[in-house]
Amino acid sequence: MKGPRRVVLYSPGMVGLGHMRRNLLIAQALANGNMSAAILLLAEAREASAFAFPPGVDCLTLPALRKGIDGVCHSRHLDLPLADVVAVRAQAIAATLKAFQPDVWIVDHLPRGAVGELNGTLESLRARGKTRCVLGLRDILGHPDAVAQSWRAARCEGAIRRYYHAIWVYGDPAVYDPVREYALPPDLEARTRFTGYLDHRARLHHAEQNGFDPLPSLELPPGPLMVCVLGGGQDGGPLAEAFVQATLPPGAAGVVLTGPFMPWEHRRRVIELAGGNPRMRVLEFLREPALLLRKADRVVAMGGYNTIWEMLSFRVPALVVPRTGSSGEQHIRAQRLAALGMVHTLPPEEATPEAISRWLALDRPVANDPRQVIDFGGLENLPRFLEDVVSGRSGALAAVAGGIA
Amino acid sequence: MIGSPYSGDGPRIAVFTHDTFGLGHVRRCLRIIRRLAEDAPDAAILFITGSPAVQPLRDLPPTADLVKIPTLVRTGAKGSRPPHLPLAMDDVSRLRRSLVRKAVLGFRPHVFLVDNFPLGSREELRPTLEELHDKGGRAVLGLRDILDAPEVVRESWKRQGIYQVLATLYARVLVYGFPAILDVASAYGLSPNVAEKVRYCGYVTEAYRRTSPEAAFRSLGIEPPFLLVTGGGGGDAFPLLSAALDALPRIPDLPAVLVAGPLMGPADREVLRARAVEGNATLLDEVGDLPALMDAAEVVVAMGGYNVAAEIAAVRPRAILVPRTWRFGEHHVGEAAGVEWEQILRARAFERLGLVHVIPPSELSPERLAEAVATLRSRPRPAPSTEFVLGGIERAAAEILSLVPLPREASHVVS
Repeated sequence: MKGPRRVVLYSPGMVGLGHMRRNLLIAQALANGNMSAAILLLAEAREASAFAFPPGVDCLTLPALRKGIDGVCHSRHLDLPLADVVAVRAQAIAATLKAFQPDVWIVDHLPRGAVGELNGTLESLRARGKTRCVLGLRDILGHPDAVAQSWRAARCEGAIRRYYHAIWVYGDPAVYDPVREYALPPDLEARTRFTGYLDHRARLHHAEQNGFDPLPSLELPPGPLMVCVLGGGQDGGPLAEAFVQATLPPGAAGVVLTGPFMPWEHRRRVIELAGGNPRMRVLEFLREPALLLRKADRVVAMGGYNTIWEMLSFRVPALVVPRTGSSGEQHIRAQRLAALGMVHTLPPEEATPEAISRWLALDRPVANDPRQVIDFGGLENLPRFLEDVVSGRSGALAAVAGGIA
Repeated sequence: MIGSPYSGDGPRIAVFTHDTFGLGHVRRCLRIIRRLAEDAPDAAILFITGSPAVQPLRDLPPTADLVKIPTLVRTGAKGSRPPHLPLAMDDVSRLRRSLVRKAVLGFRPHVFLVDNFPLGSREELRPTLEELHDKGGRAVLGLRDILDAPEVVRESWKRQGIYQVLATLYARVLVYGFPAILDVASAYGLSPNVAEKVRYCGYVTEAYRRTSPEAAFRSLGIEPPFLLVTGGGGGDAFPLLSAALDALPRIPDLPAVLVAGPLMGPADREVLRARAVEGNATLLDEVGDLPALMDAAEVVVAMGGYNVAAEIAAVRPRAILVPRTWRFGEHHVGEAAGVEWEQILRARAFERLGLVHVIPPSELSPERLAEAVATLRSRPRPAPSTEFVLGGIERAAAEILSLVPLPREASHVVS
């Protein structure tokens, strides 16, 4: 094969920034692998525009979709019926895959894409036989019942069986084993490999090169740093409000990162509540929150995949207040990690300013070092996994070679 | 509004800008897009660009969305090269051509606004324009006040068959300038048929909306009088900012505010920052409201890009322009480097109208700059003039919306 490996990463968007951060980190790992790679990310615009891209990586952005609380998709911005927006997206995706002819297409967590928009493209790729498809899954998709229901509705198993050469789980079965929890049938289990978690410290190198360090401009007082992060911020208002009202340990400073999607009236209240405290800062968005987290002494956070594994990559003691959404994903993640002794967790209704104050004042809030127990080798493993997929060593054989019991 | 919130009955407008070096094209398109969204709240607006300058997209109105196609242009300041795929230009070009076609035709716009390059890069828009034309969509070309030297434009348009494209595939040619700056029809040799499609809109700038000058400098912690030096996006602003720092000891009573611009490479930026700390100057990466700061400044020193010139036309500060004369990734990718006339011609036109003092870059020296600053300080600010027309945003949006067919009104008549 001449030229660099060609890889397309698809992130359906719809909610938050986590998918984008994850896929950028994966792109960075693949672009830095032994084989040079040309990597094209497919994502939604406002999330993609928030980030800087590593060398060798570019993006195509699609008109955005929005998932309502009823689970039904709509156009997010354009005043068009869903079918019209999906038509633009699906045609752009099809044109990209046809013209770019990637060696590998990595699809994030929805095997048929948002609203089934990948169906046509997957079918024609299958007919052409040049591109191998990989389904990338975060560790926990949701409560097994919820996952079973949505997979049935979207006919996911059939899609994986027909189109996908491999399933990569960006996690470690020591934390959560989706094969077992979601009862994947044996033929899908045989294609599944655990990459290990992604070590987010790798982001620092790129961030430092680009001079994104936000800390100097915050002019924080010296002393321990207490941070509260809320992912994209859509539903982070209550936790942010509790945090800014908490009592910081003596000499400590606090920083809240609300996220760009926090509703304006929530953000305003957070800013007002923080206003009286000269040791508290409220930020809307950082291109690279890793630069903040590496300096943090304590983090209070929700339980999204990205946030959690960022904090654990930096070994920052964390208090996790998971979202209580219908899928149960964050709750399960928080429970598992608390059981492993790696984080503390509080249900949202108990995350009062007082409870947060008490936790911030704890001497040694978390006992176990995640690196001792959990595989963080995802970024090193990914280039090898990619080569395995390209060369066809991705099925049961590879799963055995990868040491999965 | 529950269930299916969007009807899709409103105008559909697609906007395309080819990725060029600098932020000017994207900003201009964004201004027009925002105005379209205000004037037609039910419009769906799709912005398509390969520009890596995606940060301003946080300014997209809520009824607009973006298709960013892979970036083709590969020039840029050291350390701030745009992201791009490590593939042959032809491969990326083929991908873009096909993507634009699918995105535009899938969207089925009533109007397709194309910024500055009638066929995009490497003719990537030709199939899209032809098919759109067959389907009854209308294409509008938006041209900057000055593209380049007229003979360069004529030669390049002839070579690329642009005259034919303008005659057959475009319904309108909007000029974001004014005949006193350049009479486009005669300068570019347009046929009467194409000349009839031309509408002068005036400068596309929001400078007249500026905040108060006091708020602008107070928020930065500086006090007048001060010299303001700006290099636009900043990708090639280092020589100007460096010369300004050298000139400062000659004007000791005037501290300077230097705006590096978001595209300046980090290494250049650090060099300037260190020198600014030693000298009587403040270096800023970006400012939120440059026109307001211009209004507060004793003298403004700038290059000659479209945006800064439009802001100067609106604010009327005492201004010195040091226009760019070398090609810098602008225009068509792969075109040989050479003299670029756009900024020189614009600076000369502004000087003719009494708005600026021009220092050719070949004559730029600390002495010359200090001398020009001193001369300008002894004069009053240029008076507001009727020679210029601002309002480019409003006129462009109105022209675009006038091309949208009106089925809803027609159906009102029937019912």
